[in-house]
Parts: sequence; C-alpha cells; structure tokens
Amino acid sequence: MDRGRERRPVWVGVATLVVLAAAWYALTTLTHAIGSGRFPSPAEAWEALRQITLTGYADARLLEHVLHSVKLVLLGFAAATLIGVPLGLAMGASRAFEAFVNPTFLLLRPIPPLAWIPLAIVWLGLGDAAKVLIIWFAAFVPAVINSYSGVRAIEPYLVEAARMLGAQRAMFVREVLIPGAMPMIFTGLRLSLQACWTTLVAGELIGAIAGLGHVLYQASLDIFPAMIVVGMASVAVTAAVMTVGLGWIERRAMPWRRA
Amino acid sequence: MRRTIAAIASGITLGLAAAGAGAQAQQLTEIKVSYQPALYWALPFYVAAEKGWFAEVGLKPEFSTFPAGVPQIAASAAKSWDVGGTGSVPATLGAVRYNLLTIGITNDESYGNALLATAKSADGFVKNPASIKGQTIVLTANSTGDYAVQSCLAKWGLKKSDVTVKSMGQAEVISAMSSGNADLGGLWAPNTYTMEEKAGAKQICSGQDAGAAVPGALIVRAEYAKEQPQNVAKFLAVYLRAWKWLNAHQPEAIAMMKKFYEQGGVTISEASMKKEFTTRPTYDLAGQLKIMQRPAGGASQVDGWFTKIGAFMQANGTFPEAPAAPKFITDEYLRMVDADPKLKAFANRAD
Repeated sequence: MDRGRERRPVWVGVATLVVLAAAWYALTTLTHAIGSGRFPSPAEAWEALRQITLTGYADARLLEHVLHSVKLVLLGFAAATLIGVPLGLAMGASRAFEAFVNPTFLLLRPIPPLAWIPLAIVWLGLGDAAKVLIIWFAAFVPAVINSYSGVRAIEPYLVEAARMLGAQRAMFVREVLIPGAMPMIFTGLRLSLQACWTTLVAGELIGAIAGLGHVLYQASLDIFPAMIVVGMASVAVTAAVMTVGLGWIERRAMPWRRA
Repeated sequence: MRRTIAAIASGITLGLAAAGAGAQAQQLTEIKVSYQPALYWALPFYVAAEKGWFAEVGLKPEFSTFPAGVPQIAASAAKSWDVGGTGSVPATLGAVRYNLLTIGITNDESYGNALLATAKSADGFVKNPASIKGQTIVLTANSTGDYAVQSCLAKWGLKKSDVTVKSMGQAEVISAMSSGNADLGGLWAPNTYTMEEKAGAKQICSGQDAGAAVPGALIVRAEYAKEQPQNVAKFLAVYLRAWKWLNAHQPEAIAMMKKFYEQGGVTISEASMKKEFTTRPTYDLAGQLKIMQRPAGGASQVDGWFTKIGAFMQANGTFPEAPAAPKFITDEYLRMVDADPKLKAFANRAD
C-alpha cells in the first residue's frame, strides 16, 4: 500500500488538534471571547499542570493520582474480564446455563453502576475495594454481553464441522468457541475499559485520597476550571494509552486478523 | 342591555383592580436572593419573607437555594442571583473566581463547625488527642468544616499529613459515621446536632475551641452592587431586622426555625435549636459596623478572620495567592444603611 496514504489519517488527526489548540488560544487569550471563569486559557491550564506535577494538588502529585487511578481500573477491569468473559461464553454455549443465569443478569444489567455506590460503601467501607466493585460492575456487563454475542455469532458450519471431526468439549472450546468469539470479546473489553474510566471518575468522587476522579472532585469544589481541564486531559491520555495497550494485546491474541 | 352594562362595569372594575395590583407590583423591585436551606444563618430570609419585610422596603425577593456553597458561588457566574448568604470559605472562593463582595456577616459559626467522633471512640480521643494520629477523618474538603478540623488538629500539635482525610458531602459524612465506616468527621450545624441526636456522636473540638473564627458571609455580585447599591442596602436592612426580631422573640423564632428546617429536610430537637441561638452570635447594625471598621491603615476584625481563611485555602492549593481582604470585604452598604435614618430605624426594629 502507498505509505503516503497510510500516513494521511495521522496528519489529518494532528491537523485537527492544531486547529483546536489555535481556536482555544484565540478564544481565551487573543480575543477573550471566553472568560477564564468559564474556560481556562492554555497558559492557565499549563500553570495548573505545573502545579499538580511539581507541588501537587488534592493531596498528591499528578503521577501518584494517575498511578492510583490506573491501579483501580486494572483491578476492576481484570475482575470483570475474569468473571464476565467466561460467564458470557458459558451463556452463549449452553441454552440451559443461559436460562439459569439470564433472568438475574437481565435484572441487574439496567442498574447504573453509580447506584451501587451507597451499598458498596456499606459493604466494603470507604477504601479502594468499594471503588473496584463499582468499576467491576460497570465493566462486567459489556464483557458478558459481547462474549455471549461472540459465541452466538460463530458460523454454524464451523460448529458442525468440529462436531463431525469429533472434537471433544475442551478442544471445541479451545479451538472453536474462544477463537470464534474472540473479535466480539475484544470489542466487549474495549467497551469495558471505557466504562471503567467513566465509572472510576464517579467512584472516586466519594472518600478518595488520590486519583484523577479525586482531582476532578477537588477542582470542582475549588471552582478551578484550569485544574478540571488538566484532570480531564489526564483521564483522556491515560485511558487512551491503556486502550492502545489493549489493542496491542488484541493483535497478538488474534494474529489471523492482522492483515 | 342590563347584562351588557353589568359586563362593562365588571370589566372596568377588574381592569382597575389589575391596574392597581400592577402599580403595586411595579413599586417592588425584584432582587434574587440565594442561600442554603435549613441553616441557621438563612433563617432571617425565611422570617423576613413570611413577615413581608422585603416588601416594606420595596423589594420583591426571588429565592434560589443551593445544597452547598460551591454550586451557589458557581451560579453567580450566570447571574442566577444578586445577593445572598454563604460560608466564609465559599465567599472567599467567590471573591477570587467571580468578583463577589462580602458585605456583612451572617453569624459567628465558630462553634457550629466542628470535629465529631462516634460514641465509642469520642472519650478516647478527648483524653488523648495524639491518638487521632493515623486516623481517617471524613469531611467536606475546602469548607468551613475542613477549616475548623484543621484548626483543631493544629491545636493538638497534629498536621493534616498525620491523618487520612477523605472528602465527601455532609450527607455522606453522616452516612459514613453512622454506618461505622469512619470514627471522625468534620461537620457543621445543624448536621452536628443530627449526628449527636441520631447516632450518639460527640463534638470533640470546634473552631471556637481551636481559636479559629468561622464567620458566615453576606455576599453580593460586584456588578449588581454597582448597579443597584440602594437595593443592596435595603437587603442588608431586612436581614438585620430579621435577626433583631429573631433574638427578641425566641419562642416564636424557634417555631419558625422548626418549620424552616423541616422544609429543608432537617429535624433536630428543640434543645438543639435553642443551642443554635446560644452558640452562634449574630450582629446588629452597630455590631456589624464595629467588626468591619478598619482603623487608619489597619485591618478590621473581619479582615483578620478572612485573611486566615484565605491562607487556609491557599495552603490547600485552591489558589496560588490568597486575596487581600480589603479587595472583597466592604462595609460600604452597611454604612449606607447607617446613613439613611429610615433604613437604619428599620434595621434596628425588633417588632
């Protein structure tokens, strides 16, 4: 393929960011069309970034906040993956198991993760465990649904062929079920990861001692738009890095889809 | 024919009545008043509205309430209100962010902002305050409650880094302490009374005990104050009259307080309501002018209080530099009340 064509989307993306940055500067600094009380200028955002990076804000420096949030997300995401994916696969593979689990799952599924916060605090206290539970719940639902859909989307002729060839249950799961459902599983995991970050910020609003959600909460109490922007940008960048990491794992898990 | 005449006559009567009502309504100037419900310092707004005192000075209040100081301050950016009352921490924040002016003091709430401990742990902490080191304290960060708690820690020779501070709203603080998830909490009245009465918690240190003055502030948007200084003075006069009346008619005041607190979802005993009156001093016109008066080249008592609060907020990282008190605290509108014989007499009426 033409290398220039491959690069074009990257440059288009970079150009979009440059235009946005220029518009931001023009509106907040050159023309003052937007006051700093409503949205910070780039200089104010830079100053807030320096403050949180060097001297700290909301009881910690930026790196500690990021690491704390990443830890919570990874714990919640790992728990959701380890429980949600096998559950979804089992529901997809067995009508009897689906009939057994699905009513409960359908009842729990519409409950917003944030609605669990009061109960999570009562059950697990104000520590990180309660936040991991909330994150787990948010990530669990897409993991289950997509794994289930992935199994159901496997072409029937593949299942029939495996059966005709006398594949045992373990082999069928290993060679047909999991690889066949893998694309949908990863779609679910991407959604789960996104849900983890969305929920983390809300989970850290209550009783956190560090984390990007805690920074956003504190900045909202301080009516500190520049720090809010820094907190949001930090969430965006960290989540993007984790998504890239998941994409890397996805490519290695499904080498047949690289082309 | 008779019907027609009757219809015309009734039309004229209604028209005249409407015109009269319209003329009366036109005489009243609308003023947007903001406050937080079920708080002691907000009671005068309720009483003044019930008694019709705003109308007596030509004002028609349009009230808006906020669950906490921060959203209240943020709403000023959209001109959602003109004047109001709030805590001293949000007032300072509002001065820095949105150019709000502090034009008077609602009350001295130094006793009402406090550190409370659960029943099982309170005595131990009181006997040995050093044992608070390493404990978790739940509080609303960057609030007057936070200020009182940090002053208490300093009194005991402890630093903020000696404890784990977890920030949450007042309702969550009450839940966390009631459910046994935290032994120490920073609260303000009437939440302090709720915790004492419903969960058996004990107040182990207040801002007053720690020597930290925690005033409540009467605030105004600077733009509004510039456009409508007379209305600001009238608003202050109404507020001061309401305190005069409340302090002079306590049994009736308690009954109104009960109603007002219940409207805000707060139910506390009559004893606690009486305690509000005895532990939270208020200031009449002369008292306000006295604490806000700046000696030549010097700072007023109120300046001193707010300077310390600004330093606390700066230490919390809220802003890089605390605002100078004279830049946002002014007694200009109180002096306008004092200079107007009618308004002064109105502000000092206790009936």
